Order: sequence, then C-alpha cells, then structure tokens
Amino acid sequence: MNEWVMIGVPTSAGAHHAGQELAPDALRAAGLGDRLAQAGVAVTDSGNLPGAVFATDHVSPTARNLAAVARVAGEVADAVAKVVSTGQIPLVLGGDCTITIGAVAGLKRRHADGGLIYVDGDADLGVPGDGGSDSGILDSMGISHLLGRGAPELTALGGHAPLLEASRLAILGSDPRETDDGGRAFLADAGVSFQEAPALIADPAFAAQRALAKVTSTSSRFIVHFDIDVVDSGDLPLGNFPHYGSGVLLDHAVAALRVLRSHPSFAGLVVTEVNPTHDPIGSELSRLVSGLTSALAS
Amino acid sequence: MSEWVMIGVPASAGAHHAGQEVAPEALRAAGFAHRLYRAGIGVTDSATFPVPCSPPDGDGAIPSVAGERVPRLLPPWEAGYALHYGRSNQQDGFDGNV
Repeated sequence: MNEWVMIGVPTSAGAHHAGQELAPDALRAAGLGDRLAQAGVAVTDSGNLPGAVFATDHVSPTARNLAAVARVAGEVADAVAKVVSTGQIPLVLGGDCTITIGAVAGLKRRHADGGLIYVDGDADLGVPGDGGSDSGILDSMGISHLLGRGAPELTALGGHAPLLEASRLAILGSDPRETDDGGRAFLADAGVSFQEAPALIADPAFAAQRALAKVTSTSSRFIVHFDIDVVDSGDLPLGNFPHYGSGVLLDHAVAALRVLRSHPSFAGLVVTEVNPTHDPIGSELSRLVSGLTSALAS
Repeated sequence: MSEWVMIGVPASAGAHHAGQEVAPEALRAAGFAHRLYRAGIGVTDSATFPVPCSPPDGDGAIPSVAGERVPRLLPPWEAGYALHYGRSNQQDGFDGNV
C-alpha cells in the first residue's frame, strides 16, 4: 500500500479574502490525520509550506496577488514532485484553488502525461483582464491557466504552456449557473470532459467513471482536485465562496472521490477552499473530515 | 452633543455561513470604541444581544457568546486568525463602557 504524505498549504493569496490559510491546521485539529490512521490509511504529515495570506492589491486589479500565488504554486510543485518521485501519494491541504496549478506542475515533473480530474463547484475559466473576470481573483481562473490562458507566471509554471493538455482534463460537478455559454463552448472545442452538478447528483460513481475513462485514456497518472464548494452550501457551509442550490451533497462528492482514488492511476488529492472561519464550532470541519476519511479508506 | 451607544449584534443567522457573529467583538478588539473616543466622539458600549450564529438548517440553534463578557479560549483556527491579526488568543474583558 502506498503511503500518503500530507502537505499543508496555508494560503489565501488567490482567494477573495483571507481565511483559507487557516485550513490545513484546522483540518489537523479536527483530527484528519488521526482519523485516516484509525481507518487504516498510512499517512505522514510533512507540515506546512510557507503559504501566503490574502492582501488587498491595488496594483494588479486584474490578477490580484499574482506574485504570491505564483510563489506558492511553485512551492507546491516542488513538494508534490518530491512526494510523487518516491512513489508516495500527496494529500495536499489548501488553501485556495490556485495551488492545484502547482500540484499539476509537480505531478508532471515525474509523469509528463499526468492528468487532472477537477471536482469543483466552478469551472474556473476566468482570464485576467477578461470582462468576465473583473474581480481579478485568481482562484476563479485555475483551469484557464492550466490550459495556457492567462498570466505567464502561472501558465508557464511547468516550464512551458500549456501546463495541462485539454485531453488530460475532466471537470466534474460544477454548478451549471456558474458557467456561461462561452465557457461551455471553449471546453467543448478544447475537448475537455465536462460533467456538471446534475450528472454528479444523478450517479456519483458513474460520473466518476466517465471522468476516469477520459483522463486515463491519455494519462498514466492523475491527481484529483477537490474543491469543497462542489458541495451545496446548504449541506456544507464551509467553502470560502458560497454555492447554494446546486443540490450536490457531501455524500455525492464522497462517493465520487471513493471511485476516483480507487483507480490504479490515482496519484494524489488536493483539497481546497476550506474556510474555518465559517465554522466557529467545528461541526462542518468534523463532517468534512469524516467524508474524506470515508473516501480515502480502503 | 448626543452620545452614541454601541450595540453589538453577533448574528450570522441570515448569512451564507457563520463568521459575522464574531464581528462586534472583533471591532471592539480592533479598538473601535477607543478610536471614536479619542476622536472626540462620546460613545458607550451597551450589552451585546444574544443572537444565534448560523447553523445549517436542522442542526438546532447554537448558543451565542452574547450577554456576559466572559473571556473564552478560542479554537485553534480562530486563535491562529487572532494571532495573525495581532490579537490576544483570549477575548478581552472589555466591559463595554468607555
């Protein structure tokens, strides 16, 4: 059995505001490591990377905190590459979604054909300076940067762009209200596997299998990005950016994750968007830890 | 000059998620009342209303911190947040009166 290595990435640099930088330690305090060990999952904790805290950025309103986001993504790439090269499985605890750009870069240092299954409430198709991305929040632009659209500091994180070929990407669970027709057309033209929340709700295991079929047809290894905001905030109000009404339950996400991590080509998991300040008594963190434990246990 | 009366309402029941219920205490801890006072604004701090924070529907109400101003230890993630912003890891015992 491969051993998991927990990598904390205390960053909110790419987010709408601070808060997510507290997530790795909050997940530890909620017993994630102990719960996994009790469930028979071999896991070690490599501690936290330096990370970064969101700061108001008046200089770069179309790509806020870009330097910090790129620095952290680079640190994540180094850490993930190190773990993957030993045959272990990284469990990356974010942190905002931009860390997945680094995780993919790290995977690809070892597996050039590495792929990604992106389980997220959003397709994250924003581009700096694009009219649809006026917020300048890089957290909402991860897929674009992975596919080569956006700031060179991120698109070239792996040494060349695109960092990820569209044929090695599957997006699963995003809220249909968050993607416009232009975004759908872009993904379809690129050949990205794109299944939205209704597909995940209807049959989580089947949706996961479809994503696997797409990514493993081109990739010998893949990692999974799990943004907890794929879960309807009415069920789990812990995500940094609320998504109410998608209908996706934590149970749906866990069922899909269980299928994904069971695949022999599975190479790591990135957990993002946990904001502990939304959970003063820790009840939602506890539910999330239970869900993750259930998904990762054999 | 009319005197201002500060009324804390630690509520997040109508919000997207919890968090806002800590705002009155955070504003006090950030020195809001003292800053007003130093700026020549007469202000007193009344008791904080007991209002529940935001639990998911069906989980029942969560007792608030309201009313009595008893210092409390913060959970680890709140403590980290507090330390990041230079606050003590205990709520101060400020009695609400300037």
